Amino acid sequence: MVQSSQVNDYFRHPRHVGSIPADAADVGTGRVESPGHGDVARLQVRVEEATGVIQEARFKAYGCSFAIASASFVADQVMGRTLVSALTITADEIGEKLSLPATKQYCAQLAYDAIRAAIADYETKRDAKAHLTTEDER
Amino acid sequence: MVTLPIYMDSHATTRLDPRVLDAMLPYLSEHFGNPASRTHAFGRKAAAAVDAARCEVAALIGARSAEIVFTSGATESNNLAIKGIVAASDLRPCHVVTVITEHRAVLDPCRQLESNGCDVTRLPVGPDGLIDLDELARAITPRTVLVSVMVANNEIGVCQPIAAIAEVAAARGVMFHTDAAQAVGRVPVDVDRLRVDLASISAHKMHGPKGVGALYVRRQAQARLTSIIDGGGHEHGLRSGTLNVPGIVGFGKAAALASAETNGALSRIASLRDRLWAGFQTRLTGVHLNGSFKHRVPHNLNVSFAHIDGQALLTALDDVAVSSGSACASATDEPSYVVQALGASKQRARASVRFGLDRETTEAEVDYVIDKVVRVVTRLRDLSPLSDELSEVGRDPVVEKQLGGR
Ligand SMILES: Cc1ncc(COP(=O)(O)O)c(C=O)c1O
Repeated sequence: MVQSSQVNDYFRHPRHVGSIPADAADVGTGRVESPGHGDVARLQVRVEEATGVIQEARFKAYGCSFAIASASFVADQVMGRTLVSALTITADEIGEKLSLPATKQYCAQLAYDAIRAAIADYETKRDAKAHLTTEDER
Repeated sequence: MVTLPIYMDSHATTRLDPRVLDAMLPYLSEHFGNPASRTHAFGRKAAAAVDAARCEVAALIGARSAEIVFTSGATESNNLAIKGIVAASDLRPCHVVTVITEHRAVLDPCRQLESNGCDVTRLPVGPDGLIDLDELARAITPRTVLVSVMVANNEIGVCQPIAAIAEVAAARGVMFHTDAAQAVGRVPVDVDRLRVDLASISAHKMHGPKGVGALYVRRQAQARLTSIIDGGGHEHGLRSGTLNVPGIVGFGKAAALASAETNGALSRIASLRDRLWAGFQTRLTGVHLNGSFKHRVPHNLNVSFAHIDGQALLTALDDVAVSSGSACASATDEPSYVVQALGASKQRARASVRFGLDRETTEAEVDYVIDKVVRVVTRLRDLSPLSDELSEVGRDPVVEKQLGGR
């Protein structure tokens, strides 16, 4: 299968590989699996609560070169963005930026799902904490 | 030193031996006659070359030259054997027995027969890749016309017990075909010792040219086979069409070279393959051998590297040519049906990588491949979330047992 130079680059020289402690209050972790294909992407974001800016992103991915490149690409994309801005990234956009062939669009979807899952995890933690704080104040 | 890229995909094809090319060249230029034109010198020159090649191919497998039908390759040979035996039989509906790990060039013709009303049984294999002979015997019915089981598998290199299978088929009066494309020219194959009725061979798997092969048809079996390509009655009426003379000459030369050189190369190739396997085992964890080690052609190694996808491995291994059972590495959307047939998970099937050595493989190449694979596997595992999640890599008890029993 033909692989674009962007996929080649993100696959061969992945940025932001690794993990950050998932139990930290300011970290959101998304682990998603591609139905039918079994590819897995894990994206982690560390968010500054006051500004909502993603200060650090880390990923790991299992699957073909297209899946790894897609996960690497979104880790790169979300860095330095606000949560609101990161959530505007679409699967189509990922596919386009990486010139994914149609049969590999599911890799873009996987990476997109990882962003959503990571941010949702962070927000759940943040809101639970806020809830606890309000209860304490009461 | 090694020359890059390294070719280690000999199940897909092999390099044309320069001596084969030399033998072919005159038949692409000055000796252009049609071997069917026996009335003049041009035709007779071509016919003599085809006869000589037929003798070499027959000699390689212990057959008589009248039992060799030249075809366009093993795919056509398989089609001729399977469809031709069924077409020649009066039994309706008739029944064919094959194995789920066969090459598509056997499974697809069987599927087509099935859509025309033929019954097909596809025998399962054990974790070692071997069929169960009792199961084979039970599968044969009074309407069974053909048993087709390959000598050596194209993915995992596992060798079925051909002589024993032939005996089961013969005892029931059923014709036995074997797809020997991955075996002939690379390991000794003797059609009389194995007692097969039909055998498919391909030239390009033994350093010959592409697009030429043969079907061995035992003399007594010829009346039980119907042609599938008609028009002129060439090849005893079993395969019409002007012969591919340069290809056949090259096939003959490749067969002669294999007859002379195969046996001497076997132990060297096996020891290089063992060196490759030992290299992976000592330097990596989570390596699974797919299929029996013992019942395997010497030039094959098929390994799953846990927690990574084969296509990613192949892509990262840019200067080493190997192949993978990952769906992403091929046109299919399922990982290797052969590795899955061993009882392996989809994940293990897509992690499978096939290394195919040949008589040209050197020790330096093997060492280069070990280093490169170890580096790439390590890098991809650092990237893989599965490595963290399943830090304890389970070893397959079946594989352990096979290795211990080597
Ligand atoms: C076991 C087996 N059978 C058949 C074939 C098809 O051979 P050919 O390329 O000569 O048609 C191959 C090669 O891919 C093979 O490995």
